[in-house]
Amino acid sequence: MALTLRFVDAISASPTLRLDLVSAPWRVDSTRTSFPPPPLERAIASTLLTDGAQIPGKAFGLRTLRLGLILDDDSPDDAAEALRLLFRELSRERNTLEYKVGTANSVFFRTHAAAPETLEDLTDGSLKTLNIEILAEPFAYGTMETLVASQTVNMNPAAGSNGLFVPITGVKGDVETPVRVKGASTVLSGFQSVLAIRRRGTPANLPLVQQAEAMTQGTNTTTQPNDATMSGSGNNYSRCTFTTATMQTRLSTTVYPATDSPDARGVYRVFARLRRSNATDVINVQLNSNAKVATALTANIQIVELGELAIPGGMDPLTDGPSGAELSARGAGLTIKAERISGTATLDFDHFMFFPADNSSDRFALVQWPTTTSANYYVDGYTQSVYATDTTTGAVENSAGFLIGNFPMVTPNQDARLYFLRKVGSLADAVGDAVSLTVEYWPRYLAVRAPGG
Amino acid sequence: MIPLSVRIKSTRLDRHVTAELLSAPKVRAVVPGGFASCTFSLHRPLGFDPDDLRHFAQVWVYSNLGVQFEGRIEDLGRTAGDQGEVWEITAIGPSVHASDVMAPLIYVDREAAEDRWPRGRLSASSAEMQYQDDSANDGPEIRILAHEGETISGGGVVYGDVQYRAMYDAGLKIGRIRCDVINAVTNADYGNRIVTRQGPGGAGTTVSTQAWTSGGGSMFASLGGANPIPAGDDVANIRWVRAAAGAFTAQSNNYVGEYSGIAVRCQLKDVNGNDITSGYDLNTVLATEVVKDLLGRLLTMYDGATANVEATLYNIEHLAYPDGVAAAQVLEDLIEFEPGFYWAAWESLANSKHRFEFRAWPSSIRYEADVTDGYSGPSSAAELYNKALVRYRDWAGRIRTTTRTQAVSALDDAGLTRTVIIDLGDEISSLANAQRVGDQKLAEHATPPNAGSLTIARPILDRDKNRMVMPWEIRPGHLIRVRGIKPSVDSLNATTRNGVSVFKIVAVDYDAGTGAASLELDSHPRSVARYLSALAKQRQKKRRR
Repeated sequence: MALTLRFVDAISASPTLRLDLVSAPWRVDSTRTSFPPPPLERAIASTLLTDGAQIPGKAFGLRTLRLGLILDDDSPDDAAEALRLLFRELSRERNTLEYKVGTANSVFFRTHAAAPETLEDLTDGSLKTLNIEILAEPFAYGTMETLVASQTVNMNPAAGSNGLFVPITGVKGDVETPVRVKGASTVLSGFQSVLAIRRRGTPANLPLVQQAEAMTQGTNTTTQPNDATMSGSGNNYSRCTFTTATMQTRLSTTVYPATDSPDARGVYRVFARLRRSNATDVINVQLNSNAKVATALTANIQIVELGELAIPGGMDPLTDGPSGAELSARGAGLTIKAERISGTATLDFDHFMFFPADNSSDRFALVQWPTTTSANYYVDGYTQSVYATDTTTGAVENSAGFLIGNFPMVTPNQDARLYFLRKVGSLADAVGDAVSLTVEYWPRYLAVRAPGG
Repeated sequence: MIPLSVRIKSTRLDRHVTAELLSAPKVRAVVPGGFASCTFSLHRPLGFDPDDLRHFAQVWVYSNLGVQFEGRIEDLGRTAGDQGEVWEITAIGPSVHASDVMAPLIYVDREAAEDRWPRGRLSASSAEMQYQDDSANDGPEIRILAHEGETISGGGVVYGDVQYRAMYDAGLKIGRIRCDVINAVTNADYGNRIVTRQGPGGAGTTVSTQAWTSGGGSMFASLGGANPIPAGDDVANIRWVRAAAGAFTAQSNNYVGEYSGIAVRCQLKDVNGNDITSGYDLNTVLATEVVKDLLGRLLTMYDGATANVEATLYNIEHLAYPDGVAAAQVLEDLIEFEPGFYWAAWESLANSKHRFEFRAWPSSIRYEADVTDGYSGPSSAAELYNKALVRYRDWAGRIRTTTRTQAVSALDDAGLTRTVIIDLGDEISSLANAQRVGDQKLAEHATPPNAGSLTIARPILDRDKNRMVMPWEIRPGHLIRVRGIKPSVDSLNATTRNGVSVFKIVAVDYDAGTGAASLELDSHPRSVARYLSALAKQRQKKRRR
């Protein structure tokens, strides 16, 4: 059985060799070599008040690689030289160990510094055996894969395709893995964006957008003729004139989404696309019983976060008893209230967006992009950083991006959707705007990589 | 993995450190206060100062749904041991800002001692000022008198005058001033006056007058109201004058003005820091007004414009800190008057100011839980009192005490009297104030507290959010209904004996290492750490001017 075991310079399809452990003078003793999966560490909370226990949290611990090596060289001096090369690789703070045992694809372990547990001379010094335990990151990595290659995300939710999202399919690996999202400085510089991932069930069924004109029009609120700056066709937005200026229900719907579905279940962060008629009056908006939110003092179209919405809400059993069959969730009622504290402005509602943010598997973040030019921007879930690199040289630049929330992750063998809204806050994208994004990742494995990834 | 992330931002570096933590963050939130602390440890070399681990670097703990903690690094502990080079980080929440800012504050001042109302420079040398008790009301009064045989100048020349400059010394303005006045005789040739001015040497404006009458009367003036005080005036005089022309020699000892019931209020600020120029109709101040003034005047790191400051009802008669006070102490004193309220500072908003609330404890239950993950609830009669002895300093500067009592059946039936001693220091001195505080304290100790500690290691129902929430999302300052406990009867559990208890959550400690939250219920649990903390926070006696 062909074995590949060597230190290399990087996780790559063609990495540069640093030290090969299966070619002379090195051999691997398979009886003393093992790559057990990493331990799964769990917090367990239990009392005698109920059977079983709670597992409030879990995470994989470091993996221990055990190498049994045989050094068989021509002379003691040659063997000493070979040992020196090995010790130098072992003592590196971080190293990359490529491993393949008869499979089509290698995996790579990111190792920590180590030293031999045992070192025995068997003859005159030219034949030695070693046992080495190397601590490594929990997972073995596959080479980088591209999930989304420069795909266009339309900022218009009513677009024919990819309205506020890109689909993610074919995720490889054994366990969930961070992803790296890349975009260009020319379209992202200085903005704050929503970046969210739904990675359970059928993400396409996630209730993403509710158009205002499709809701029940409330006090002083009516649908308006088509405006090209608003999303949708026909009468494509609603206007509130505030004849009654106090906090009143301006838009409502009895149940959102209209269709019961397990995929409707979740907690969502709700954003509204609005437009005021002036930049001076004080206008507040409120979703259901959330705290009211002040709109920005601008007459430009703006995005306002209205808080969270839970579907189905209340005590949710999730499944049909212990059967594991997930129950459908019924949508929640939406009540949009607004008040005008001063002035005479009107308020236009375009649509409401629901980005997944529950604690079970969703990932949500507000990303503040850097402002450097001629750069690629990255949200890197692996290094947990937001940074910029020069588009020509690839050098990391001094940049001031940051992220509020959780870095994006995907789950293998589970379709996902990455939701993206480029501008939030007192800004908003035009309905015709689009952003090209790339999503990359390194699959993670507990053991070796299967042919299908 | 627990879906939380940790971010540190210093002046030199902004990074997420979740993957680098040596110990999981422990987050604490309390009321009053809000976000209190977050501790964790990181590996960094000890040989130099890391760019991210700097004092006052900002720390956030995020979930998908937003900020779960925000604060600034206060303590950087360094150790070298079997875990290598380790930095122990403690970040303190925005509540510390209330202790950072200090200033002299005088909201309502009823003191009438000589050091507060000294002799005015315009007084005739023969005028005598006496500081004594009002025999009718047991309150302080100032007597200004001319003895028999003394010459009293006429034509409106000041004879006897006392001056109040505490507002000026504190950098404040006068919003209202009043007093009762009674003279020995009725005489139209003489008049009582209140005069205000800007600075001790400024030109005076007579803002209120009262003719000499043995039947008594009162004088008052307020900013933007009847008898308007000119804007910016910060010094006041109370005096009497001979309005009639020509000098006069006092024929008896009846040339006296007695001034009692003196109250001076400062001009307040609104939550945006703007001066409030009218509305000073009362001689008292509400806790609500004080909180809004603090937000506009001192607590500039809290967002006054969006602050939730709920209305209070109790009229505070005296609240003065001429020696200076931290805003946190003022808030603590306000809660003594309004124990059903708390204050808290939370995450920062888009304008970098922190969300702030001063609100009543809600009356509706927010969380539903049970004792499955653990509960500890000592219930001690040591917290029962049926008598309170309140020490305070009155308006004349004397140490006074007042006693309050309440019926507590457990003690009364046993024939026991237990007294709690309350020391109000010098700042909130008045009989009414002292009685109020005493009554409130006794009410809290009428029954054994439903105190204790509840562990939550699984999602529980949040009625406000109408969904299940994770342990790290639970907030103090709300009510929780816990199944499986026989309650002690108290205001939250008046009659029930059905195995369900309602508690206040006063603190939440979440440990990301165990994934569980520990809730401190009603009053803080009895622990050595808690008692030590209480001793450290004991009121420092303020020195009066």
